[in-house]
This record gives sequence, structure tokens and C-alpha cells, in this order.
Amino acid sequence: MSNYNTITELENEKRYAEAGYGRLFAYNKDRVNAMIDARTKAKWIRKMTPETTDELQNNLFYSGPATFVNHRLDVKKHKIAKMDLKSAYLAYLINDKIKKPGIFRIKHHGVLPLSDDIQLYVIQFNCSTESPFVSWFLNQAAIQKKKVQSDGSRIYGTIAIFASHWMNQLKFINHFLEPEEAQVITTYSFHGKKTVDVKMSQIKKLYQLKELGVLEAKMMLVQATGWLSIIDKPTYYHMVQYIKFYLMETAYKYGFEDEIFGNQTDCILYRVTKETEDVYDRIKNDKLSLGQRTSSIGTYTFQFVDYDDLIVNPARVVLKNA
Amino acid sequence: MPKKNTTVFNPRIKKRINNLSRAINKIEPSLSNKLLFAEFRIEDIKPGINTVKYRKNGVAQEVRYDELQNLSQAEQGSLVAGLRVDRYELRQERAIQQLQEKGKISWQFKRSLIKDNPVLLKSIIEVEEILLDSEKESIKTAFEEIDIDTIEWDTEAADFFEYKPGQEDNLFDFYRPGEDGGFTELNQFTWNSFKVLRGIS
Repeated sequence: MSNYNTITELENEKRYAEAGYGRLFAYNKDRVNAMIDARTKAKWIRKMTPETTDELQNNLFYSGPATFVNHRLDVKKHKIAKMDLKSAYLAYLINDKIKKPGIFRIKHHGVLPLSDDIQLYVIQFNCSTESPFVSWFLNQAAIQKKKVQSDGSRIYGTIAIFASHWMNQLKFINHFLEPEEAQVITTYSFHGKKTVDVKMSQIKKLYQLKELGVLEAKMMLVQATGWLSIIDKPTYYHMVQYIKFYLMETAYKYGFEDEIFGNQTDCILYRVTKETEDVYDRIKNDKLSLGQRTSSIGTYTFQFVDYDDLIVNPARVVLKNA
Repeated sequence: MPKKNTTVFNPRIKKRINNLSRAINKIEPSLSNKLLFAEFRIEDIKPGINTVKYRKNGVAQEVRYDELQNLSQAEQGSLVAGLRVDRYELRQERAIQQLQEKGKISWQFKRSLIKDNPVLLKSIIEVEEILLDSEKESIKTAFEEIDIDTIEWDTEAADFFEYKPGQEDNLFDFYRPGEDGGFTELNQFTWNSFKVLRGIS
């Protein structure tokens, strides 16, 4: 049993990723080895859907978190609003109204129309490198890993994107690309029970501790969700893409999409102008919450900063004191 | 006042397939796999004699066949995705119906699948290979006896294939990787055929 520890032991040894895994995904076990447990769950999923596992777990290139800077936007003389989604991934996991991918998958050739069920679209694209599609749906790492190809002016490849009526990412792609620049080649539908049962009470408990400033709780919350990609990539990327969709939906609904200076997974920075100065009030008044809970999990927090407070790299922008 | 007893006219599957094809052929072919299908929520498509009825984002629409090409590209793209999927589902239903009625699938029907539904054609050939030594009458009887599910078949299949101790071979039995007698694609037709072949009720 030496490879197996109690959650308390893992916390004492500062192994927060594993402790977080234990709390969120294996709380019913006295002792846990996160890697063995995650791989066992992954094997179980492979048994369920052997004919799609290789493609969904290993071969497909999923659209990941959006990280970009809009260098064309002149922000130096403006205030910049930084809005963060609080514990975004956990808010997704804790919200039962958001459907999660089922464990049984069926591959369909060509297009399945959108429905209320979760579907994964494998999309072939060929577009300008300047397109907002590149910023929102392709990240720099993918380009470096040659998952997509580029000749400098055009970029092309195949990418997997989730969509349903309540998470219609495709309408954004239609907004960014011309019809002839993208087409669906395969659709996967998801059925049956969700992949992992999340211990809701543990999320709430850790979130409360995090809010009280307990660093260990924050570390566990931040690191635990990464295990999902070992267990099941569709489950992990549905979570990642839902957060991205939620941010895009917010930007377009509140009309500040043209003022976005940067995006960083669960945070948007936008230029404050006459047109966007009321965004903060409107979002607060509408009580937007991804978590749909009485607590603040999944709500937006705002900071207003100057350009000099930021570190701006070619592909990302962060706060100097963060 | 007594409720008026109304009967809903339900045209034959073959007629509905033909009407769907007629509508599909009126729409620009290059829109088929484009992402425009995500622009509108299209439901309850009913291709009739002169018009196609459907709901677009919840609002009822009725468009003459010869006016389909005048719709916006986004609406055509959304509509054609629904039309093609409905036709694919109906063709699968029709294949099962032919096995129920005649114990075989006609070559005319198979020929109609070559261009647009080659995957279904492949599934039909797989089923025919499995049934090669069976009499038409026994095929007919076997397909008539099973409760065929054309609507919730994917949920039914997911329930059946869900990993359960002691039933690990269910999926292997369906696909038989590397062996003869399995299916390469899970769809309404192969699932219902599998039910017949394995006597799953």
C-alpha cells in the first residue's frame, strides 16, 4: 500500500495535485494513488468505447484554452479592465445544469445537426493567420507542435470543437470565418452516464477555504482538474471549451468584443472606453454566474489597471503583481 | 363539446425519403458540410407535396420547394443538415422495413445509397454477409418479432453497451475487431439488426 496515501498524508506532504484529485474524484476511497486511479478510470472508458477511444483520447487535436493578445488595439492611454471568472473549472463541474460528455460515444460521418445533446465536431479549416478564429480556437502551442500548418499568411488543419444548442461555439466560428474556410468531416455524439462523479461537497468546502485565503485549498482546486485529461480528454476539453465559450458569449452579449486586449484561459482584458465603461455595472446587475450557486464561485471579478501594470508578451498578457 | 377525432396523415417512408431528397437537391450542394448549420435551430422538418414545413428557432415556416434556394445561405445550411440526417434515419428505417416485409433489401434501394450514404450501404452489406445462409422467410420472421427502435436507438444502445461486469463482451460482439461477422459502424440499422441477430428484446 506504499503507493497509496490518505488525503491528509498527501496534504501534509504538499502533494496538492494528488490531494485535490482525492478530494474531488476519489473521496470514497480511504487511500488513493491519483495516477493509478486516473489510469484505471481511463482503461474503463476504453473498454466502454474501444472503437472511438484512440481517436478521442490520442489522435484528435482539441481546441484548448484561449490565450492571446490583440497587439493591434491601442491601449496605452486607456484604463484596462481585467475580468476573471472565479474558479472557472470548478464552477463548470459544480453546475449540474451544464451537461457533461457521456461515457458512450458514437462516430458519425459528416454533419449531425446541433441538438441539446453534446456533440464533438471535427472541423477542417483553412483561413488567414489574422483571423480571430486563430486567437480564440488555436493556441500557440498547437502551432509549435505542428498540429496545424501555416505558410505565414494562411493556417490550416483539423480541430475538434464541442457544440450544442446551449454551447454553440460554431456560430462564433461562422462569425470569424467565411463558409468555404471550414467544414465538418466527422461528428461524435456522447451518450450515457458522465465519466466522473465529482464530490460536490468537497468543491464547496475547498472553495470556502480558498476564499478565506487558505493557500493549500487553492493549490488543490487549481491542480485537481488537470487529472481529467488523463482520465478522459473529451471530458477535460468540454470543460475547457465551455469556459472559453462562456467568455466569448459574455464579450459578445455585452458588446465589448472589439475592445478585447487579451484573453488568458478564464480571464479577459478589455479596453475601457465610453462604450465599454458600463460593462462592469451591467454584468454585476445581471448577477452573471457560471456556477449558478449562491456562493461567488463562477462569478466575474473586476480589476481596473493601467497599461504599465501589465506584462505584455507576444502571446500573453498578465498583471505585474499577480 | 366532444373532442374532434383527428387522424394524422403519415406518408409512406419511401415517399418521405423522396420528398427529403427533392428538398436536398434544391439546396446548393456546397453548403452541406459547412458550419452554417449552426446558425438556426431547425426542427420538425416535414417535406410535403408542394412545400417543406419546419420550425426555425421555434417559429413555424413553410417554404415551397422551388423557393428553398432563395433562403439565406445560413438558413439553407441549417435546413440541409436536418434534411440529410432525417433522410439518413429514414433510409435506415426503410432498410429494416424491407427486411421485415421481404426478408431482403432490394438492389434499387442499395443503389440509391451509393452516392450519399455509403456508410449505410456498407452496414447493409455486413448484415447481408451475416445473414447469407438464412432463408428469406426466417429473416422476415426474425425482424418482425423484434421491437425495432428508430427514435431512441442510441440511448438503448448506450444502455446495452454500458460496461457491466460479466457482460464485457457485448461491445466486442458488436464490432468483433479482427474477426468476421462484426459491424464497423454503430447506427440505427446495425443496432436494430444486432438486436435481431442476438435476440435482444
